[in-house]
Amino acid sequence: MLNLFTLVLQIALVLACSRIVGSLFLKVGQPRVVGEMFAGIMLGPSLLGAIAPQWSAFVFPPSSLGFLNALSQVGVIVFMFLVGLGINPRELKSQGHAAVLTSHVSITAPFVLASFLAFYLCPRLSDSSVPFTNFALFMGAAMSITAFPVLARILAERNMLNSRLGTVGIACAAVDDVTGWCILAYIVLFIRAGNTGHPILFTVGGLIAFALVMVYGVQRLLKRFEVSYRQTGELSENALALMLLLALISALCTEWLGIHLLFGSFLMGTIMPKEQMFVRYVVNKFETIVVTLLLPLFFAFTGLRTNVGLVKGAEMWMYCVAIILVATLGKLGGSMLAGWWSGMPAREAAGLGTLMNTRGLMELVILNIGLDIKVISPALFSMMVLMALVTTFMTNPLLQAICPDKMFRREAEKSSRQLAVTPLGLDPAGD
Amino acid sequence: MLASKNFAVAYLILVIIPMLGLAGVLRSGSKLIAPSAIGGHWKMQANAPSLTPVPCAGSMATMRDADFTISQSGRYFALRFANSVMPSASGLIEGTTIKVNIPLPPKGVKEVGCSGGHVFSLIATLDFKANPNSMAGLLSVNDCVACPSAEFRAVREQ
Repeated sequence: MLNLFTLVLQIALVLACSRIVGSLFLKVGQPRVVGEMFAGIMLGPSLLGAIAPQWSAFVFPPSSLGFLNALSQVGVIVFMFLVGLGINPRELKSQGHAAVLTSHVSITAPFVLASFLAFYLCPRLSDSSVPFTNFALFMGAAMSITAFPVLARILAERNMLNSRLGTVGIACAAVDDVTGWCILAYIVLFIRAGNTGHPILFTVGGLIAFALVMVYGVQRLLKRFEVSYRQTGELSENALALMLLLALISALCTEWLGIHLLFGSFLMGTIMPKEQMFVRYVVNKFETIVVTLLLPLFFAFTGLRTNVGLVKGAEMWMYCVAIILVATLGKLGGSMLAGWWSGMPAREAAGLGTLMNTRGLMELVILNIGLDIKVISPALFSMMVLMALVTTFMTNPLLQAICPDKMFRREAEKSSRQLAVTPLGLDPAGD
Repeated sequence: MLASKNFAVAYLILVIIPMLGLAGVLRSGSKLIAPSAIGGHWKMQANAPSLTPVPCAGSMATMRDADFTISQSGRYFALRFANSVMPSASGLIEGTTIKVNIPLPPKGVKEVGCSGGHVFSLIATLDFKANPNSMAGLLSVNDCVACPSAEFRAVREQ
């Protein structure tokens, strides 16, 4: 039964912790989101549960976590809609061969390396209920993802959005995320096929039909939102509610078809009109409540599922280090190699690799799905969360070392004269 | 920036060949043998009514008919009793045998003749042919000569 006191106490605690830790991380030059991820882990069994188990049991009793999860999932549904909204397929087309090569390599390199690592980890951290193909593909998808919103925020903070590095990075991150989610959809589809009651052909056929209706039917109707915005410079509350309703209906459709709610909201976001001012307006309308309240709840819920205590002993820590190294080598190394091969100066290519290695929140979303469908074990989940934290944390300092601000000063001055619009409309102050 | 011929070569080396490698790994990986899956909810039926007159048996009696949950990570697992009297413990799976040491709860330590520092040992053999899966084994108290062992059987709930 819902205990409102416990739920409100949880929300208050999560909100306070995430704001405090997020602000501290901002002070040391990290995006706030990294601090919020860290705050979530602090509230879980890894810290609060370890040093004050009674307090942890009082504030986060297991029976109450379903409500916290439900709230956080609503936040992630809207967040994925906003991520999809920020992705513009035309950006990749305008980048030519260099972006195509870099984006594809930044997926295949971590994917292939992850599959080799999966070969080693499967007998050690998985069990017989998980087919190796699912395990390896999931590891590949999880390692090849890039945190599109965090990357956009870092580029905006450094005035690099309109630089060559920024535009190629944004385009590649968009391709990586769409590809990663497609692969994940494939895995979820096959794992959940037996549980939904639908035959697999129904699910596959239904998904294809759904995607076609969305792209060739619904997308045209969505243009009316943009037309209305262009005429009045704003959208009515009814229009915004309708937009949210469409995202929720789309999420329900994909859930009903047998994949996850998040695919539907992401797809709805990707087919929305992409005019920059319109995107910025919509994001501003929805972002505040999602970023300040609902996403910290998601981080807290993830933190409550993350138990660093499961990573114990030299053997387990060795696996964890191997995961971080392989993820970094595949993503950073692969993107850097492709960027350099495409003609980028070595430094700029290294900067691109560093940016692509940012995993952040997107990684946590994928990992939570993996744990829900039991394709990864709790210990592996904790290791992967640590990997997400480390790779996201290293981005800013590494980027500053490889590509100092002065490298992009001229491009930044040029771009500051233009209207700076981040793909998610995020506040460049990172706040 | 990237000529078509150069692009084709780069794409072949950096994308297509690694993808073939991925296909090879997926093919070979299907032969891998991972530890048996034991995760989930189990219902224990311990044969413990005769234990009450002996030292430490009070604690063991709490395990009779106790439900427990196993959270597995490869060869390692965490076992948590639903009644929360017993603390959670970590164990290891080797083939079809599981071994887990459970620290004695404070209640048991206070019993006459049952000194502190004892640890329960749970060793069981898994039967995956049974439907539902089951395990059968022995519960004993480590380093305690006076403490008897108790046989138990647990069935996995589906």
